[in-house]
Amino acid sequence: MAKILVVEDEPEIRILVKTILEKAGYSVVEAEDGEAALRLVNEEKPDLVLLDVMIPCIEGWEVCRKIREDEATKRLPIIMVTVRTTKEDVQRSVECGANAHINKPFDQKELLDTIKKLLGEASSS
Amino acid sequence: MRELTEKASVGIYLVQDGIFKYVNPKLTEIFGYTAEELIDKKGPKELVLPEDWPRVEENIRKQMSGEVESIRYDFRGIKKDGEIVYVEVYDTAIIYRGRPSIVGILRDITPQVRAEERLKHINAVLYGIRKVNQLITREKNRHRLLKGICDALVETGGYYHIWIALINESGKLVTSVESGLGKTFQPLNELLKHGVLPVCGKMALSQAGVVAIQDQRATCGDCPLVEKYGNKGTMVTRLEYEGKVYGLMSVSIPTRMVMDEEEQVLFEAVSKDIAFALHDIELDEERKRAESALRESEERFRTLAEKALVGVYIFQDNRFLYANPAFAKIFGYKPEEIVGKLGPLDLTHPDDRHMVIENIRRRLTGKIESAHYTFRGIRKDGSIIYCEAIGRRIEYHGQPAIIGTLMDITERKRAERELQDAYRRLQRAYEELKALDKLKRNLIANVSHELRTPLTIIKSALELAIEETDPDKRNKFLGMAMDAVARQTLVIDNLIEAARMEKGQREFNITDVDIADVITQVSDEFKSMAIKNDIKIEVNVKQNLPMVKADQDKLRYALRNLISNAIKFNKPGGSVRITARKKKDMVEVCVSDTGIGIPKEEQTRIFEPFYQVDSSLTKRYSGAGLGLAIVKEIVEGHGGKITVKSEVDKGSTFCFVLPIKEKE
Repeated sequence: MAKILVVEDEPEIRILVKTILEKAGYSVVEAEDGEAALRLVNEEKPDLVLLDVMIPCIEGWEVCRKIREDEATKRLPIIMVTVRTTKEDVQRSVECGANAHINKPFDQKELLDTIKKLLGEASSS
Repeated sequence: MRELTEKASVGIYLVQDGIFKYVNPKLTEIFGYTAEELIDKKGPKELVLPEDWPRVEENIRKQMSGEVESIRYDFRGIKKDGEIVYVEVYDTAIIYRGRPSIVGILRDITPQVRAEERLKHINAVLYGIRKVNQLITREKNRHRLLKGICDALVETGGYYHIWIALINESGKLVTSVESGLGKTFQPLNELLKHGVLPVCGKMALSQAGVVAIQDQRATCGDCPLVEKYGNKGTMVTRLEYEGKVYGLMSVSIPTRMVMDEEEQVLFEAVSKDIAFALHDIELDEERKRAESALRESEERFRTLAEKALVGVYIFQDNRFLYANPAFAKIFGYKPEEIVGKLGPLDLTHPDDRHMVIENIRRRLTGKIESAHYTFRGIRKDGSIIYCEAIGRRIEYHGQPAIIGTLMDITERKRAERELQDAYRRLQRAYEELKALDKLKRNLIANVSHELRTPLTIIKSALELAIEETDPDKRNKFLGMAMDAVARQTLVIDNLIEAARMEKGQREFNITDVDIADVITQVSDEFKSMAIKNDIKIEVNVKQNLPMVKADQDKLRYALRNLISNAIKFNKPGGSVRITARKKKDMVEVCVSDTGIGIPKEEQTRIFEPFYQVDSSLTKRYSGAGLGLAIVKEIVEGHGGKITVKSEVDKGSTFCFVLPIKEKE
């Protein structure tokens, strides 16, 4: 059972995403801000991270960059899930090393398909 | 008898009818003739200088006529070689061979006469020298002195004539004066002017001491003076003092005196006196030239300083020794109010005195030669000016002093300050523009966030609700969707209000509003949101509050924003307190929270449109940044006022007052 870290500061969205993921059979770890996210990445060793951009303490893109800088987590699949939807925003997600960029509001299916694909790739590599 | 006369040491003669009938050997010796040449051939007339003959002839007549028995007299005789001989005779008339005759004794008195003459001449020269020395002490004009000297030496009978020629270092004639020559000097003077020196001059210049010329005709060649003074002796010498040759002096005297040692000594002495006088005059002139050069340079300096447009000053021991008008004017004084009365520190701002003292000290002690610095000065009227001073150390009356120039740079400073201010203003405007640009970019991101976040909740909640079979769970998802819709509505309302505000549209639909009602209703709207955020809402509204004149919708809107913020920026377990009370002719409504608070420096800016406290901490509270700006606009539109009190980490209180009566 893959473990997913959900980094999201809006409590409602966190609850909804957690519900969706658990229904799909994943275990979920939650973080409200960038600092907690970086701590939990090391403590909980999740298999994948869903990362919001506009979060307190450390911006999501920066969190992503830091995860990539760490030898232990540099291959960890990361999906940016964000209201930042412009072309530039998507470009920034690519630059910081995220594996995927999903706009809010998102389709359940799109989110789960992307997670599956990344976990599948991660397990096969 | 015959033998007696033949051996006599005096001349003895017998004259009859004007002719010698007898002459003894001594007489022939005196006149240089032989006895044969005289006896029966010549008479006294041929042996007497023509000038003296009338006198001699008269004496002879007196003898012959018997007027006198015997007679003694002297005259100048002419020797065979033409030389003059002074003689004294004792004549006695006798009858010789029946005929009246004169017998006489003749003595050569030339040595006595010459000695007398010499003494007389030396006295004359000495007298001349005395006059020369008198002149030297009082006459400082070179030409007048030399002319006076020449005249004195000639008038006193010292010399027949004299000429003095002055030459410069390169040997060229500078000037010449003479006495006793008059027109005769002209030809020689012409030669001198063309740099041609006569023989005597060349000889004198080539050696020290006196050059004596006995025979001019033999020695002096074609010197123009020979014609007139050829039969005189010449003494010439260079005028020399301490090795410097000023010129030469030439005199003529009786030939026989030329070789006289004493004459030469006196001549040399007077030449030395004259040379010394010339040296003295030269020194005097040099001194005068130096003095006048100094005076001129001082005059130039003073004129320069007096007319200078910059301040010029000299001070010593904290007292001005000099201050030019420009300096005085800079400080609002007259120069005489400064010089000797004030010192540099009297003109220095107290705060800059230490620095000025240090600058002065470093120069006076020789640590530095000069200093260039600015300081604040105080004018007579107490006003402050900026001064730039450049001063250096000098010796003044043997003591260190400082001379310098000073400029009033107040205008320059002011311009500099204005330029800096303008630059700072520009910089600030630029920063503000940049910040505004950032705010606008943030606004788009924030609006996107504010709109997309509720939408995300609505969409995901509805998707889950659709799939959900458990009614409780489904209702929970639907409730979440409903809350998100309410949130979305508020955001959209805000955006619309902001757009209106931007356009300057202020439409107020004023009615009598029961503020207590509005507060209760609006706070109820936030009940579920408060519970979710673990926030307690307290409402404390005074009884019997008067109605306010207000636009009810806008009032709700304002309250909604304040309460929404109070919840949003609160901490879990915190509270929101809403109060309303009458305050004079106003009603005051306050919304307090126990949240994160607002830093002091941000408190005024939070009412600016699009402003958000820029910290990552507040990202979770992000909104469009329009709420408070709109609230302020609404409150002020009602003639009210909104204020904030806040402490970081303790909470914030927003209060607004609304007039009870309608705004006029």
